[in-house]
Amino acid sequence: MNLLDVENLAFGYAKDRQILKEVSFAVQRGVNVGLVGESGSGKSTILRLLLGLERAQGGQIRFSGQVVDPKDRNFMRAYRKSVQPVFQDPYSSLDPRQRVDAIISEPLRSLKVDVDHSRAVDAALEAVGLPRDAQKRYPHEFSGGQRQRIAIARAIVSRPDLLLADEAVSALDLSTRVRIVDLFKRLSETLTVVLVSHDLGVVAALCEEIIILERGTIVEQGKTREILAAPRHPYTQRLLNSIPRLKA
Amino acid sequence: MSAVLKIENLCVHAGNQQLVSDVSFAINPGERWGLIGESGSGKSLTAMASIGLLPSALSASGTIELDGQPVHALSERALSRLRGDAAAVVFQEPLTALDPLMRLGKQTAEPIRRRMYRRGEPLDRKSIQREVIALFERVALPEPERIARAYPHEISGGQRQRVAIAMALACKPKLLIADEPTTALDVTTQAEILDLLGKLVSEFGMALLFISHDLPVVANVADTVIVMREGAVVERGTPRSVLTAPQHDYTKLLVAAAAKFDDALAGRT
Ligand SMILES: Nc1ncnc2c1ncn2[C@@H]1O[C@H](COP(=O)(O)OP(=O)(O)O)[C@@H](O)[C@H]1O
Ligand SMILES: Nc1ncnc2c1ncn2[C@@H]1O[C@H](COP(=O)(O)OP(=O)(O)O)[C@@H](O)[C@H]1O
Ligand SMILES: [Mg+2]
Ligand SMILES: [Mg+2]
Repeated sequence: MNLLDVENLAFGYAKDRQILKEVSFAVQRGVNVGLVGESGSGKSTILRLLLGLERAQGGQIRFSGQVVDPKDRNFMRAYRKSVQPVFQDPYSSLDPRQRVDAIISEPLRSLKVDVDHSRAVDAALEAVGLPRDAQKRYPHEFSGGQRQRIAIARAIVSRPDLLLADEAVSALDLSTRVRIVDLFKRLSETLTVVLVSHDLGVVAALCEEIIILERGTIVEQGKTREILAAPRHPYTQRLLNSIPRLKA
Repeated sequence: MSAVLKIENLCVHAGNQQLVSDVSFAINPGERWGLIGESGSGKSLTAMASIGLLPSALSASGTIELDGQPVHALSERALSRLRGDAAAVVFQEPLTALDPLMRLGKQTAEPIRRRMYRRGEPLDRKSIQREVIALFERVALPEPERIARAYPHEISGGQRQRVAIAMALACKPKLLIADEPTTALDVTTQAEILDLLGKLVSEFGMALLFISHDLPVVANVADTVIVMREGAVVERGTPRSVLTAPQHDYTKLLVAAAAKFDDALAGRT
């Protein structure tokens, strides 16, 4: 069974303007998926629907075969443990007044996860490669890359099956970006990542499958390797040709 | 041939914190230089110091000559005059350079008017307007007349960056400083803007100082590359030498990181 099935999703923030049109894709357990498109193409909107923050006007999302219904509170509690977001900007997504241990354990409290919180925080910190003494410090004491590690630790503390990462490495410097992509790669031995990005290079490095979105419509999807080697849709070709390469 | 920009031993301090350390380089007419470094490495401060626009809270030492004139020694008035003729800047976020309340045609007319005034040319409204439209055409803006009547928020980010470039060109500067001009743009728009910048720099015979944290972008634009780290220059050379035989550990790290994504794109992993 697929981890996630998305079928004919239709959505608009306002009635007169449809943002997503018949978006369909599947995410298999253990197969990372990259969602690529220019700004405004609807990538974040898809994640908001997957997170249950918006309701689709048409179509359906299923998680392990079960329909995701934002009104079903019991289901949503379990779902939120299993599906966690990581956002682009670690500066604004971390509460500056809280210490790192409180930030990381927040999902355990709000989702009422019945585990030893301090042990879970230790494990999450270790998994993202931060020292244990990071716990009692505040977000501003960390660099951009380390803050993104804190945000990732918070996302994995409830041991989710699926991470939804929205431009989670886009704001990072090149050398830091490589390290965080490596971290996601390591984490994806035990969970699945859906990475939204406008950066095809990052997607190529992390995701086995790719979905290309243009103005709310999927124009191409499949194995990343195959699509990058032989993009069929003109939009994919244009995206690929636009990337500055080292080897001209 | 005298340099359009000559920086010698530039240091920038905030109190006793050193933000830029002993930076030196010289750009001759028509040359294309690239400045690479991660955020906070001192790229923008170096650029701002070059044109005498450092925030007043910071202090600088060393010498900077813009088109043969010492930037430190000039009065604010002489400096702003020199800035227009010698160097113009395009920033990462064009909205910061554009006045949100002024029509784009009108704000582009201002640097043209200042240039004509400086050069003692007759100020004629019609010909200024014609030049605005001609500049918008040069930067490949669609429907230049419509955009001249529009306000900044009414056009896309890529179009705003084209207007900002048009305004920089309006000065007809000897040096164009582009500080992360494509960082906020989509890759497709970035490719178009890079293409445009390259073409215009040749056509106008300008020198270019192109600043970016993106190694492949700089390598594609510049003939000479400077790598900055923590306020200091750690490496310089042609893109080819920096990419194929990086000397400094930090440059090696950068090249390896860029190569990793490059390889992934080419299916070489
Ligand atoms: N809260 C919102 N209200 C109204 N329109 C929105 C909202 N969020 C996004 N949009 C619009 O929806 C479209 C898709 O946006 P988004 O999903 O954020 O794109 P992406 O993440 O690919 O850049 C854009 O046209 C955007 O302006
Ligand atoms: N007005 C200022 N006062 C104090 N520190 C500053 C000021 N402007 C920049 N800095 C600091 O100087 C360093 C270099 O900044 P900058 O030149 O903007 O870096 P870059 O453009 O390479 O990202 C950074 O650490 C930044 O925080
Ligand atoms: Mg988005
Ligand atoms: Mg800068």
